[in-house]
Amino acid sequence: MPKRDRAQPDDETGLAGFGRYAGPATLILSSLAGGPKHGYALTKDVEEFAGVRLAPGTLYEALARLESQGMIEALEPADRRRPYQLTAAGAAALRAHLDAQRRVTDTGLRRLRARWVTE
Amino acid sequence: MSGQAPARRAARLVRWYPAGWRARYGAEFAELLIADITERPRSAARALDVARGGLTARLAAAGLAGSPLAEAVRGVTPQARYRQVSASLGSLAGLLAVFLVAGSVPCSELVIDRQALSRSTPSPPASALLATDVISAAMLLLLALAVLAALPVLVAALATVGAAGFRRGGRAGRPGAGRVLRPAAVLLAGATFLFIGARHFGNGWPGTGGNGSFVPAGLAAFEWALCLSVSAYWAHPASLLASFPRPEVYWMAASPVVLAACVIAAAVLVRRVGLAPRVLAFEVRVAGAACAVLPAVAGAAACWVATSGGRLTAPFHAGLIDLACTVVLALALPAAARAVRLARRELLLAGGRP
Repeated sequence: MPKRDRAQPDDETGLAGFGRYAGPATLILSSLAGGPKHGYALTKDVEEFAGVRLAPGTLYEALARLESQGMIEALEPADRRRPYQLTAAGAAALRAHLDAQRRVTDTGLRRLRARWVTE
Repeated sequence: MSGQAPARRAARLVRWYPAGWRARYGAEFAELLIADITERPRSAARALDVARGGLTARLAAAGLAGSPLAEAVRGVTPQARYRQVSASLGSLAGLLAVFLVAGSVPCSELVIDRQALSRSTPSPPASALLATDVISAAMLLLLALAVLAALPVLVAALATVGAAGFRRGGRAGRPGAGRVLRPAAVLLAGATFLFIGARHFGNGWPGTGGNGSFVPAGLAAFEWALCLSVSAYWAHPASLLASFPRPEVYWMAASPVVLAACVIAAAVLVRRVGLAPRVLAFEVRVAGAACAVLPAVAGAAACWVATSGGRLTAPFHAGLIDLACTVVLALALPAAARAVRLARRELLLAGGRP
């Protein structure tokens, strides 16, 4: 069972070029890291692990961008629902993005522990 | 809620998106919407999100918004990129028409006022005179560039119609005659109507023609008559508008509709005619030159509106119509610049030279 990361929905620092879609793109890539999913399954999975409900228009705008950048690919549709899966390029982009996020998270937590939090 | 209702509502929502997008994502997107509507029957946020996404996709399809989204739908082959260049140029043709109409209003008013000033006022305001010269020169240049850009499109349209002449549909990858002939016919008929109408009603031109300005008299009258519908006369239906002869009022009502039909036909024609890469590169260069002229039109109009003063009877007074036209120019300017930038980018990526 792969370890689940809690992605930051308002994170705009990674996935260069995605602008306001970097947040949804991170959530989608993180969800697909667990295996191929179609739109509705993606929405439910993201809602479960991040507490964020991706609106349908936003979800498909981000999916289209990710597909055009080769980070995900569409599989054959089943019953009008088309699953998407992560590509190697998408996995590399997600890893780089989450590593950068982890550096920020680690730094912030370390500084909080040092000056603000008594454990 | 009946089982059919979510499907009907989903189908309505999917219509926000353009045909190309619907062909690629429509079915799966509708499935997602049906599931979402079943789960949350009422959601204004969902409707707004879909509308925003649909409009963004339409802007991308028209060559006016981010190309990653357009690439996802149309692919990244050189042919797809050339089609995207045509889409951007088609949208730009529409924006230039908006510029020509919205710019004609302050331009013709300034030229008229300059006529009046040269007879009655010894020292006209320097800013207004400068605005008149700048906007007149820019509009003439824009008109020349529009004609320069239209010629290769018309030649290509004629060649397409000629080549497809007796063939039904057209070969794969080439537009059929009907797809080109219809917008070409609308454009030709509309342009003829506007040309004859503007020449006819230009006889009512209040200026004497070119006195104190370098705009040729006939052209100034033509321009004035063409944009007669965009005027303050509509705001005074009982007095000013009633004093017009009936045919002139009909002209004021019909000309904007015909003009809009011409703009749409021109944009459709540019997209359908399938211009060769070298012609597209030429069109992009002309579009770039036109885009460099647009700030002069908008700037001169804004300068005049800002410095015109408040007296209604004063010469060079700018009214609400002029303010509205200036706002339209200011809004169209970044959209036109974006269309040219995207057209250049797609042309470069396709291997052409802008």
